[in-house]
Amino acid sequence: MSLPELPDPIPGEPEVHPDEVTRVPLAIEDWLTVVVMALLALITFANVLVRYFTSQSFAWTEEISVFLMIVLALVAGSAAVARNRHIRIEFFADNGPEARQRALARFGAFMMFLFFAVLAVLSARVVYDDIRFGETSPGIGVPVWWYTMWMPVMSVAIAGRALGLFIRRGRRP
Amino acid sequence: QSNYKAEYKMSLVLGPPTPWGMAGQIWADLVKERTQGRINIKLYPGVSLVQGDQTREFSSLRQGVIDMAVGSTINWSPQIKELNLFSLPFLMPDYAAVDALTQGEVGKRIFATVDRAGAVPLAWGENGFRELTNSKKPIKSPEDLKGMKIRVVGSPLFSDTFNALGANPTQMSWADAQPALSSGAVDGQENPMFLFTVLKMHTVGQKFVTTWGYVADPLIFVVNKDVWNSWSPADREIVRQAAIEAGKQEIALARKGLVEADKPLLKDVAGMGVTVTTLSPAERDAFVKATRPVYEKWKATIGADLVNQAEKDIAARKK
Amino acid sequence: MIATLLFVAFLALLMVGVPIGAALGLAGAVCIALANQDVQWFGLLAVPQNFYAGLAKYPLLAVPMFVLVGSIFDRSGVALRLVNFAVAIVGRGPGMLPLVAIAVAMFLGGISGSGPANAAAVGAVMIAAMSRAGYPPAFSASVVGAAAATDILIPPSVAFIIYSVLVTGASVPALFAAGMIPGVLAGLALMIPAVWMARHHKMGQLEAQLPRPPFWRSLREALWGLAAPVLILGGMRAGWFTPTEAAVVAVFYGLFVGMVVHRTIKVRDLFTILRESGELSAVILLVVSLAGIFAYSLSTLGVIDPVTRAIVNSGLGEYGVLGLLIVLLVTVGMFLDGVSIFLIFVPLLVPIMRHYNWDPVWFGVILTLKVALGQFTPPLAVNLMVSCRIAKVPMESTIRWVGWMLLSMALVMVLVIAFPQLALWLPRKLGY
Ligand code: NA
Ligand code: NA
Repeated sequence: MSLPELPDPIPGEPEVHPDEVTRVPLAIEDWLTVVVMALLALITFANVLVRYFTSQSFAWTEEISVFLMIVLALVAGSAAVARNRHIRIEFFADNGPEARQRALARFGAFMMFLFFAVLAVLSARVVYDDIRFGETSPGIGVPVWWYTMWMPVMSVAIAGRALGLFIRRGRRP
Repeated sequence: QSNYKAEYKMSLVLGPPTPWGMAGQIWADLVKERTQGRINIKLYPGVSLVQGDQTREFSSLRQGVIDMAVGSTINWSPQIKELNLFSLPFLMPDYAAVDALTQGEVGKRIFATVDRAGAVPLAWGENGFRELTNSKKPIKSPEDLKGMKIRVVGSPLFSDTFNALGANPTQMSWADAQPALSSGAVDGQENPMFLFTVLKMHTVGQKFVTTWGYVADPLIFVVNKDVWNSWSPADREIVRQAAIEAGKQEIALARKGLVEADKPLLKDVAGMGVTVTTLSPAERDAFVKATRPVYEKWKATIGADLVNQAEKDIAARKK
Repeated sequence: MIATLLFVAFLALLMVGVPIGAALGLAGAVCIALANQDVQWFGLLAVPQNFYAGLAKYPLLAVPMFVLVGSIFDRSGVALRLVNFAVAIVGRGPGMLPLVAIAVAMFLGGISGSGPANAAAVGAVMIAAMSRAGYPPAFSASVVGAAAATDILIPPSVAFIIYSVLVTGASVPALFAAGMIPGVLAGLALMIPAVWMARHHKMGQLEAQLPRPPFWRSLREALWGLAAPVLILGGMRAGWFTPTEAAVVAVFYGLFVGMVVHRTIKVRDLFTILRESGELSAVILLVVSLAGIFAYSLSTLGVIDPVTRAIVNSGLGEYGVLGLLIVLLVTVGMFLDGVSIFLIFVPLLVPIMRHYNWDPVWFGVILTLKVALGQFTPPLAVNLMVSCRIAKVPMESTIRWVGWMLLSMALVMVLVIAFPQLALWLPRKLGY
């Protein structure tokens, strides 16, 4: 599909934008991303193999895979915030006077911070409900908060990354 | 009455003209007419208010994301474990048994649980007995089911039941199930018979139906608590009465073609070139026996008290 | 009133460069709060519920997996061997390399699910080869960027997966089958202007002097790549696996080919591959889930029905409305990428589609064709962005060349509109 930012460096060429220095190392998100992607591929592949060799399937893998995909979206999404890779219209924000460009970059980062800070609070409330009413998962039947509790945690991480970007964009180049 | 909303959001899994959708339509129409338009209801079929995620419908209703709903006991069982009662394999042998539960002591207790879980329950409807279909062969015994991939809905109880029968249950939404069935990635599924004709399941290769009636899922008409409290007592009574009447009409629609002596709906299905298998009492017993451990396991989860009451009421039902 | 605010706020945020996910989420959340002032927490619990439910869909798992497939096949050395094989078939002559570039991009389209990944894989091999043969880099970048746009039409396709999640009644296998013929037609349509321009401007004069690879050896080397689409598409067709599983099978097949057979992927490359495809997938998935909040706001504010009524009663007629929609989407597509266009517009367009009884699968193919065109229409043309970077030319330099290819592919869209069977025949035939 299509994204304004290049998905990956062209093979054999160095990365065009080296990562900016961040206070909290991006390696945290990067390693989590790699582990989750690998798990997603391995679980699904194992399911195919097991089904074809034993005509059994693990009904539980679907629930775990969907959970891992949500973790992926939030964790790798957090790194994408720090790298400023999220899809946006660059036409006006990345052209024109430099002061305006910087102001718009800060505004964009702040809006990202605002949304995920709000999402952190709201999803914490949903987790509270999940615990209070003892909700269980439809696939495996485990407490739902085991899955949902990561939403506020990772929303805080994304908000933090957005705040970091906001601060970095405020510095004189 | 300034705090009445201009429009109330009603969530449903299926829209009209299915019986489920008609339940919502009739309820909404009756309420609008009898409150002279004070309470306007808009239908959101396909659980579109929570992106189609049926299992999040109830929590969203409790949290005010949804104002009212006609929902299935299966979809709400992640929030209310007692609702798994209706999914206990072979608990209810016939429609009289379903009525004995919903209209009796069990129904009252379940409504109390729904109320504790954060919504106002008003009336019962019905999705119907869920029958087994597949693309391979007529199923008359658990042995016939062995190794078959069957699509089931989202509750661990269903996985347990089909595993106990030697089948290979996979959980997926209907949107995924349709291509999976037509390509043969999945062999069979279970759903009420009216859905077989509505969704034209014979066109996705489902050529064999077994009317085993292993579970039936009733529908429950509910309203969000804050919304309920915002209405005048007179309006609440109108909404409740309308729900009860809509439920009665819907149950009649859901059973149409299945309660008559010659079961015309099954004849229609057979007319599509589908083999309809009816189990003899002895054949049915083999399925009951195979699923008994699942029944016992889940009896404890649901609450032995409630299950015992249900068994008692079913034994005493008017046939 | 609130509905107007929803659009104005969203567009304003978008224009000033706020990430589209945040713009969708914030505009949606503010409007939910304004419309639900009497409800607990201002009805805002719809935000986390829709965020979570929008993501918690098993079919979406195919998105990260097909992105991963693209990233792996990028580095697997398959593209190079396919190019050699294609050259061995068509030979060396004026305009043959652009033809090969398009054919290989179409073939890789049967493995990968995303346009930019395809442009990267084909561009890395073809742009240098075309330079050696004397083609101007801007022309090569244009051909590669346009050819890669066939990727989202030829199955597998991330675009179709997202469309099927948004529209009930359009299954992934049906969409995949429906994209096949239009995708191949689009590729053929690109070949005509590409070859014609090459000959007319006497490009690639040095090509005839380059060696022609021996047929049998290049066939043997290309076999691993040639087998991949058979495995992926055939496996899905035979019911061996679902689209998601097909993607994962392709992942392991690609790793085997890249690491064991061609030895172009080293173990330490795995980290980069997984990290980058994970990040790209997350960027897509977050827009998917945040668009769910916007969609909730849209549908509960009751704007869709009046807008639909206004459009269908506008007196434009069925084809007038369709034409209007395409003009609208082409305009939006100059600034916005394909996923975002789907997520924002499909909820608005589905009621119109239902009103005219348009087949949801056919409509999905039309929209995807439009998105494919947008992938190489400057200024926001993701495929060109990739190919221009490889060719080291500014995007403006491609305008001279892409125009004819855009026009030619737009004619395919007109054909699919005029003859819906071009899209619908194959899925019917296959029984989806
Ligand atoms: Na493709
Ligand atoms: Na474009």
